[in-house]
Amino acid sequence: MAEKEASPPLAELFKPGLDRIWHFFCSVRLALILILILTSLTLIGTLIIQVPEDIKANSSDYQLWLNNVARSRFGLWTTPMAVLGLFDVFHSLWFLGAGSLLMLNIIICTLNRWPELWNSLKLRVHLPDAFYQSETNRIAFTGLSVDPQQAQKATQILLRQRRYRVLEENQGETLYLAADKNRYPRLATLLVHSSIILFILGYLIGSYWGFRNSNFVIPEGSVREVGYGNLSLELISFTDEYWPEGPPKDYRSEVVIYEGGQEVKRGIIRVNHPLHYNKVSFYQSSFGQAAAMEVKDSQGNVMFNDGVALSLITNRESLQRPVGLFSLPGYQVYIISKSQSYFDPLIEAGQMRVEVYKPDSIVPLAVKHLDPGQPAEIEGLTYTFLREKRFSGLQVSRDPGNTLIWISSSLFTLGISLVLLFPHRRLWALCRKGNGGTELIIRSTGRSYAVTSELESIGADLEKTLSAHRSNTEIEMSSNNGEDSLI
Amino acid sequence: MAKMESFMFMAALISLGIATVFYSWHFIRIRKLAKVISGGSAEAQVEGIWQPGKFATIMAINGLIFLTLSMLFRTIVTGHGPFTNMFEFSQAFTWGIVGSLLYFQHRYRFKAMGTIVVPVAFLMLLYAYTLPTRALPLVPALQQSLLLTIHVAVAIIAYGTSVAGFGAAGFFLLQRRRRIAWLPSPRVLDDLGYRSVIIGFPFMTLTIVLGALWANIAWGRYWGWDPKETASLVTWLIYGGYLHARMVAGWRGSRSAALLLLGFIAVLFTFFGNYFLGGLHSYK
Repeated sequence: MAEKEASPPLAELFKPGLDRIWHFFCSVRLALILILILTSLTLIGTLIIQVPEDIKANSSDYQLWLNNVARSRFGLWTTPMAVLGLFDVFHSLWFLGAGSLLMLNIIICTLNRWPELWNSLKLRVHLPDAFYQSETNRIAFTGLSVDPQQAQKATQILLRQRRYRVLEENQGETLYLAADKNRYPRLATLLVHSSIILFILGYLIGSYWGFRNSNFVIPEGSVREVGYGNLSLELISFTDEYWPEGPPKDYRSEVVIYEGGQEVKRGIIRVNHPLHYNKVSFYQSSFGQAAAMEVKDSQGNVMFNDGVALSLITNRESLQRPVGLFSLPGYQVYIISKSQSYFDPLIEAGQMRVEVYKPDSIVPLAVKHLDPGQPAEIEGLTYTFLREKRFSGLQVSRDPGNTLIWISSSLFTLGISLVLLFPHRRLWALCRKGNGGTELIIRSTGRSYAVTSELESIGADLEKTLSAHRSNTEIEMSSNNGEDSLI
Repeated sequence: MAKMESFMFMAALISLGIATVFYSWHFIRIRKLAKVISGGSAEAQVEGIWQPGKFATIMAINGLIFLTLSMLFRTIVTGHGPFTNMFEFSQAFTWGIVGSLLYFQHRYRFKAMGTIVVPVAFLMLLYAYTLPTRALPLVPALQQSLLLTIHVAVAIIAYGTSVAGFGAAGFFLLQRRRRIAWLPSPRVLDDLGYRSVIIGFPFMTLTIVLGALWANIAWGRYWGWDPKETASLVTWLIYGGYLHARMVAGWRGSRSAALLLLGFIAVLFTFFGNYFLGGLHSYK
């Protein structure tokens, strides 16, 4: 029994631990350290080349990328860097971990400060005498010839002129005043921090329930499934225009959107002018060369007739060439066109090089150079390069988190402006009869220079007002200059 | 018009060059005078004596006027806000620096502040001078006149005030080593630095929000870790850290000033970032 009495209840046992965790998370130092970590990670993510999202999604593409792109820059360091996630910093454990901790930190800090914040809004008028004995932020007038009521009235008028809300309370012979301004903007700090949480929430909603294809490639005249819902898109035409001086002027994709095979929308997509259908948005993002191809079998049946977007790049003999591919039963077909550099020893302008592979082979079964409209036989099939076309690269996205992103951003901007531009100010005053005249003491709280200079200026104004009634007034200004404490 | 524009640009460059010289002269002069007067508390001591500082201020004001006119003429010529290439950004940034200097100099009656801030503005404009000034027609992404104008205009204010904060922090750290009677007290300098963030931080936030809004329209996503986006986020986090360190952890003085210096470096990095990091913001 005695033993049982000595051992504290379970909750008590855990309390110090919980307290410690709570305090750990509500420390501003932790916030600063996390911000520093996030800053350094962000810097790393800016300075080191990052793997594109669509490559990262496919593990073999990612290996290829590591070997071809990363290794040429970082050599032996590539593998450890990849393990540490340095090529994808913004999705790495470090970044997400520090980000989540910061979010937790913000939530707990905000909760922790709530009671203090709430109390600071309630203005207590009558404060103990000890409060008025402060070394700092205090102005005292003694020996005034006016009576305390008049001194109080003068102070009240002055503070109201300065847009303070003034409350009064009289305890017998002693008259108290309390004044504040901008108390509601102070609450905006909650707005600021909860909007950060909302923002992160919006981001998470977008990444979990959103849909994004940042490289939706479609040749002119073709129809492609969007990959979201029942939607497909047809590109009627792509147009690029240039200014006489050279820079691009306009990129335009004329498209038709189908839902379940039914036309539902028709329109033009331009940079800065996306097309929206049912919360799915289409953005103009790139363009390039395409080829209209036709393949027939020996009986003359059409096996393939579509545009092929040459949206990838091959790198052979240090020449970069646009390449596109499509599959036929049992075959992979690559269409390669002339290098965009000045001279290409292999492929002539206007020609398409066709390479046919077995799906698992890296040696082509056949290679042919096709002129437009000229059929050629490969492996018993007839290939025709009908004509050159364009493809348009679109970005397709549906982001259900977007609304939250804009609401939270607006709230944050509004909140931070309120907090910073309308600082909360509080003052207290005490008037009473002292030896040789009325005594008036004004006191404020806060460490900022603005608080001090406000108090000084109120003191100077009051001095002017009260000087008419002065007999042997003494003014004692002990507003904190605190210069040395700064150094 | 184009001729007027380049004339105004040169006038601004010369004004700021002269202002740089005279601000330094002012600094040296009050330093000497303060030694003679001894125990003097501020620049107010040398009021009445002919001051290079007054002339320097007039030159800085001239610089601001010429810059405004230069940008105005350019807007008339090109038909859009002068914010579309590195030359135009640098010119606008200079405008922001000089504008915020004059504001704080007036508010705090602190002429010597220009001794640190105006050289930065002058160098920025000198840098603009080395860049190709030709205004090319706008690429499709930039053809969003409203967002282009507000996004960059807001950024100019944000980054201009950060340079003023840098000036305050610089003088604070100078004060720290040896208490100099003729400079504003460390407390005032500390407050000046804080005030620069009070004004700058909401504008910095707005710059990023408007940028995100525009990115969402033009590029199809509000955030894409583009180098310039990332650098601006880092800068924003540093100033956010400054505010928290100050308001909650009670940081004052040297540590605050150090954060302001860091913020200034981050601003420069953000400004030049697209140049050596590439990305979607590199409009040359």
